[in-house]
Amino acid sequence: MTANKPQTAAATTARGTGEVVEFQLDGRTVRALKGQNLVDALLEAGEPISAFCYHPGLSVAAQCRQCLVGIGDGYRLVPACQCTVQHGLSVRSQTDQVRDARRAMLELTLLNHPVDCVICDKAGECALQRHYMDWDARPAAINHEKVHKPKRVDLGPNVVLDAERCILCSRCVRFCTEVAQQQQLTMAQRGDHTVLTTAPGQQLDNPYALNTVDICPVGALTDKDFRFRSRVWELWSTLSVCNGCAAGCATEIHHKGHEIYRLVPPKRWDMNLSWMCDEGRRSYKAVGTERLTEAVVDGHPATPEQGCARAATALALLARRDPTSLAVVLGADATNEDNFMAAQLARHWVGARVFVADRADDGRGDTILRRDDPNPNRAGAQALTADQDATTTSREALLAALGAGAIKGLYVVGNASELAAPIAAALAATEFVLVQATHASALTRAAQVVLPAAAWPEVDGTITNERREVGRLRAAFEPPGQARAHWAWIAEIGAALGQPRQCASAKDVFEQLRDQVPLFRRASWGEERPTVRLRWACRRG
Amino acid sequence: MTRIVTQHLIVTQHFGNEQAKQLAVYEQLGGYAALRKAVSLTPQQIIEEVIASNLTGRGGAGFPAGKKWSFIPKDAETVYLVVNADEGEPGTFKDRWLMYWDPHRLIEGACIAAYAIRAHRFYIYIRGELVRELRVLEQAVAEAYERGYLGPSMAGSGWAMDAVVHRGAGAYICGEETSLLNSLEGKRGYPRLKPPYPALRGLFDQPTVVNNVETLMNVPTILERGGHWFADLGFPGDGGTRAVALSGHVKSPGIHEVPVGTNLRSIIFEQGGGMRESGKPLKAVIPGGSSMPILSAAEIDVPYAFQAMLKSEQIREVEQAPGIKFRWGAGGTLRSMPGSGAVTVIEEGTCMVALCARIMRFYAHESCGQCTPCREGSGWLAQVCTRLARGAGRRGDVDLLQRVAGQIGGNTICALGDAVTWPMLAFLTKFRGEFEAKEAGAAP
Repeated sequence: MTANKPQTAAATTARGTGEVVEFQLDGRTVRALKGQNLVDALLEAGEPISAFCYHPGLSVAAQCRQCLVGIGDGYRLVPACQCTVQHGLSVRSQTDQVRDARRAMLELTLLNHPVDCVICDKAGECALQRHYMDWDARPAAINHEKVHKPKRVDLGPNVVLDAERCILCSRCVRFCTEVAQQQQLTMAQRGDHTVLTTAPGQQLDNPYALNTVDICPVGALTDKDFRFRSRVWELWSTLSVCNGCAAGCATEIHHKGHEIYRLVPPKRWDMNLSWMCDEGRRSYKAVGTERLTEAVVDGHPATPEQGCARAATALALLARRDPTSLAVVLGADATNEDNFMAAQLARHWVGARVFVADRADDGRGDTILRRDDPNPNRAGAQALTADQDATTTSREALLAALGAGAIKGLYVVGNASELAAPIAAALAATEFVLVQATHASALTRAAQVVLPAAAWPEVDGTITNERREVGRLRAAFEPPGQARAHWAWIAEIGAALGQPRQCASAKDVFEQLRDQVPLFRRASWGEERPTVRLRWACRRG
Repeated sequence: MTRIVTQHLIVTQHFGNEQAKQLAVYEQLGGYAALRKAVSLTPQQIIEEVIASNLTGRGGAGFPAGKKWSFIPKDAETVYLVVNADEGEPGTFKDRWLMYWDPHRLIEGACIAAYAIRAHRFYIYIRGELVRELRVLEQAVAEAYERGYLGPSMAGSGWAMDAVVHRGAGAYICGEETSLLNSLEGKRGYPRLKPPYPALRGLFDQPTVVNNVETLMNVPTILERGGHWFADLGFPGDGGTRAVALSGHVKSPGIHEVPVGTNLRSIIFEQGGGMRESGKPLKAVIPGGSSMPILSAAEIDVPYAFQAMLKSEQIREVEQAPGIKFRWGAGGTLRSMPGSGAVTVIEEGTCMVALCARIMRFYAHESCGQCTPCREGSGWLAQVCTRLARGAGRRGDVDLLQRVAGQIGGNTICALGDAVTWPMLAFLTKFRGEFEAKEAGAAP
């Protein structure tokens, strides 16, 4: 039996060593991972322990003193976050001494807090609010003027500080130093006049700054984009994958109606360690604006049926004449299911050549989350064309073939983004262009048929990140107007070409994909996680 | 300053001798002989001698110095000694005078201690306000380098020794040893989580010993006269003398060096010459700097030593609430301690509420702001105490003080939380009536 050694301030993991050990919690036996932080172990054991400064992705500060527990028969209480799980550890959590101490810590934390929940953006997902309900729920004993601090401090391009709400837990300070690797925040002054601030001449402008808003246990740090826009309990949450780059970070889409309010990282230790980059969080903005919502045939609005019929007729005609003059372009921004259907159409239904449209590496990757590759699904598109020499499917090969006049019919799945203009400029010899896109571009303006596509927050499906991990997109809401998923359009065109319908849902497509493409054999569709209402009990704080 | 000369002056033996701060004079008076002797010994022999001397830390906590040195891992490559000259506890003013009159004794002691823990460098972290002492110390360090006591071969031993004098910025919290280390590293002066203790991971993450000025100034004498002589001079388990910083309503305030265990009453009435001429009798004594529990006039017939004052039946135990004993650390009760050696004498007629409020305002001002209970609680106590003292208190304020004070101590990273709780509860334990009288006149 080893005595519990409180751990050091050095960065720790919440996961422990993998060895399961037993320890005593108020006399009952609890199993947990050896080396796991005691706060996490207690939470997993269902113990209602409260903590403000502890965060599983950051070093231990042990300064809020909210997670006090008794260890063994020691009189002096210690913060649980300073302890790790060891076999035979004995923890007191529900004794009067511990409960009184936690209540006292909470009272002190609240002492100079303005308690302005009614106008606070964090209300509903605030750790202080929740712990108050759990532990104290008594009126304040303070009867003197609270300490006043700045209410609207512009910390940087994305974040505003209300210093009075701040409970000085230092999570944000540690996040900047340890995760974003830029020491941009610090404490200034002393005692109850301590304030969070940026270093002189500096802003909170690192590419991960908005994570400080997520991990702020109160409403001190707010996101300039989200603040004042909605109460959190009016929002719905859908678990999906960020499409900002090839990292494939898990993300929660928070939405109301057909509008996205924010993208936030869920707590996923296997993916992005519950962090997201600011750029990824803002990527939702492009989704909602100036969308294509109806089919266009030869420059005129059309019904989906007209669009598909026109497309099928043209493709069939060209395929009969010379299938090799037909090109189908998979999108590195489309899902695996979309690209699988497109490849199926190309290879089995019309016999076309296959290319992949992707964006060039932008060199903006870092060692934290962001990758150089800005395509959410390049790896997936490449996996579907793995049987071909990569140089024959590349964007250079596509542009060369177009330039040589070898392509008479072109079918582009996805926006083709930066390739849209070069492709549109190389269409001199092309007779028919079909584009499925979410937004208008030079390419859609040059196309004979444009079909409006659903954007990533509107579809079910999978994408493959740079590490070849298959992530699951879930539709947060219906796509606008006539827009639908790429695979659904392709299936519709296939039907117009006389192909039997085999897939009624993205999951059906995925199952075919998994059965037919070797690189996806071990991929999983993932669990069904319905869209849920963000409610009081949400533990985001 | 009248002073009864004892036979055993150690750290104050050169007080009044302006010449002694010059290296040549210090050497004539026998200085640096102990260092020359030390380098002929092994580090282990020095540590054993200091352990035998029962020298305890003079900064406030009273931890045995030799034991602290022995915690340094023997295989450590880089070790540091840090001299804590950031004297800031209200009432305490010994270190500044010790450094002023006898800077070479500090350098000599630090050299010996650094050699004993196999360090090649020691830092003297001096409080920013001590400008005069800083100049004296820098002059002394320069002289010591010139004479070869510092430099590539300490006193000709071949052991390199460097000294760095670092000036703090005047924050009280930087006297807390881990906070001092952070400050020395150029970081915000926040106390660190312990463990790891500095002996394993201290300055720049290397094993480090942090010693108080007075502690180290005893070391040369221990080597010269032997650990047992030093131990015999003091109290069982607590050797040598203490430089008591006597202040308040006493006839002869100043620094009085007395053997550890000298009766506190005799320190005040013999060394200090008794109460000042106002004719008012003694009311209370703060025995070890403002964070130590206050003693009433009836509680001062105790030996001035840690173990004695912690256990003396004569001193009433501090109470959490009337009739309920305050418990701390491993769960024991609290009486009082000699702390940093600052004895503040308080005469009859002094308003204890105002005094307590002044102390609370100090800690509220100096709380570093890291831990919630100390940051918020110290400010709360200061507010409530101050309004009570001004006659603007409210009903329930005394109970509120008691309740809030009980929530801070023991629940913080460093001892500043205790430094708020202990005096507050001790004032209420011993002078509750005065607080209640203030409250009684208050509006509901």
